Amino acid sequence: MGYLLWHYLADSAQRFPGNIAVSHRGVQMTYAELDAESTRLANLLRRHGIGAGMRVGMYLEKQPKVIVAMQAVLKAGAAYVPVDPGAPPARAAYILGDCQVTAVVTTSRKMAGLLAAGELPSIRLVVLVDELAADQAPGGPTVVDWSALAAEDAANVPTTTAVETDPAYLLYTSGSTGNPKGVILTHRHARTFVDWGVELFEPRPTDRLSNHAPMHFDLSVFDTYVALQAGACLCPVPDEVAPFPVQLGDWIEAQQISIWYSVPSALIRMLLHGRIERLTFPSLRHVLFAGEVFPVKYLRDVQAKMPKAQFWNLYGPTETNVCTYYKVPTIPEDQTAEIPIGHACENTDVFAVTDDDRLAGVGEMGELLVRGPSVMPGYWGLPDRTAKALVRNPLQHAYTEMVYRTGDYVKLREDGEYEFIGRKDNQVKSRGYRIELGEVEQTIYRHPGVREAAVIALPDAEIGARLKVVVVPHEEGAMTRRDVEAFCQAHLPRYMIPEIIEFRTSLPRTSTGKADRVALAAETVAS
Amino acid sequence: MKLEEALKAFIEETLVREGGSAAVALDEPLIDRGVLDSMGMLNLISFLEERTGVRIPDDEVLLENFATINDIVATVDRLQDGGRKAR
Repeated sequence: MGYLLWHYLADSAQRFPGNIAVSHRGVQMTYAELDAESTRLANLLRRHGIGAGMRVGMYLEKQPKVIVAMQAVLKAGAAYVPVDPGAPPARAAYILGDCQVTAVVTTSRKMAGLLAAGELPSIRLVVLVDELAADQAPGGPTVVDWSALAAEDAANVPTTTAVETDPAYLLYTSGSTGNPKGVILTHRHARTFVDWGVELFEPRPTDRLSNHAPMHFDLSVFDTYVALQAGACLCPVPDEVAPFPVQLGDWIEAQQISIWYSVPSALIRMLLHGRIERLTFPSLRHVLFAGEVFPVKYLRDVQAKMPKAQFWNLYGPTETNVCTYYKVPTIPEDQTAEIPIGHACENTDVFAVTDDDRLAGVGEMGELLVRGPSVMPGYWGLPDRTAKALVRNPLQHAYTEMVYRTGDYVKLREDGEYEFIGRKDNQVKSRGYRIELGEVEQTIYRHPGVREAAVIALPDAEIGARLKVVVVPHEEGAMTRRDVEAFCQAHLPRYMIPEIIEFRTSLPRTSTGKADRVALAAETVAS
Repeated sequence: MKLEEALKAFIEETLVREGGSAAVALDEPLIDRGVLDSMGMLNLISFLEERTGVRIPDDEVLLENFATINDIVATVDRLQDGGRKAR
């Protein structure tokens, strides 16, 4: 029985060596090839001293080599850290420095950006997926390109000391204090989640799974490893297809995708702008979505356009993996209530507690807590944040048992399904991404011309929320929209950049002197 | 400023996020520069609509119309002409 995350690949390579493991822009890679190539890279990493207890960054666009690199890092005994390829180099450098990666897999262009963004002394090896840049700085890390793999052993996975309780990957999410924070997930966490998915969705070697979410987003864990477990084909959505709703619909049909998983907004965009009345999606048998509320008016229409597919709503913060799910029935014409987030996954326990730490009854609002083997051990290097998120179970007095506080308010329905009500704090979701408004605010505060800034989220049916920032400059008229935009572009991932920028001479205040975000949001809605 | 110059400046200043040289050639595939993700597309469309006053309908949001700066300028020109003829 496998117990490490890469064992799925090793098993499938034994059973289905000739099956296509990854298909991307016409490039097909079999299980035997993926297994051999990742073993080569694992051996290369080991020869450079990279192994158990270390982390390897991945800063590059989606392509089959990313899947190779993920499996290779695991085979070498280390954990991988996928970084948003659209993140500015300064943010990527922060993440890679924060968790002290010893190696990074990237492109020559991105490497140049990283070097320009600052020193990363922990990096001793750079693996480029494209050609080697001619001018290597002396004293810097060793830089090799993909051709270096040819000389490595493809048959023997290096021996490591890695066990199932070691980290397999770190995923960075928005942090309220101004910097992203790394969620640590071990082999066992990931496998608990993947095994649940395999049992529920029964993937077959003939299935074709889409990979729409970026690799730094936990939705991609499902796509990748459920496919690898089943000997099925993983189909990353090419970068030139994803932004174009018409082409995305064509792609799903042409690729004969049978299991689709994405944030609702990707499906809503396709519904509204993809001319999908032309399409019938005959191969789709499961459509999974997660990350944000799927407004029922759109969900009903998408369901009608994909009649062969069973729809599923999955819920779970990165910290817990997916922890609840709901099998979506055909939505009646007259239903206006949003669908629930469902009930706990196999091997997981969820329950809601009221603000005074009682178990919330049916119909009573409470914060959702999660317990079980899919809950993260903590945030990288942030014991205080970890202690706030992972707390002693308030309902268990006999012994110490840790539970994760999701910060999400829910209500238990009569039928045993949980309904999502809202956030307890300042976090919002836009296009499925978690955004801490505080992080956006703190970043804008760093601009020397800014005296004050308040970021608010405006509800939006299509993408969840749009961000607006109200800026009070030190000197009236001294800053422009473009100044704020350019500063955000240099420091924030694109999904965190406010779409609306407004200047004022002061901010409305609450009675305690804090910026009154409620008043700001109300004004915007009213106007 | 001509649209193609303004567009080039906009893409270089706000959409290319590589650090270092941001120069984008007029016939360079924008996909290769990571400019055209779904959020980049939205920014780009609102820039074009604000700047030119031309509305870009959903069914024109296709890769072939946005592949390079030259393609985008051609698309906007075509939509502008189409709009004039319709009036």
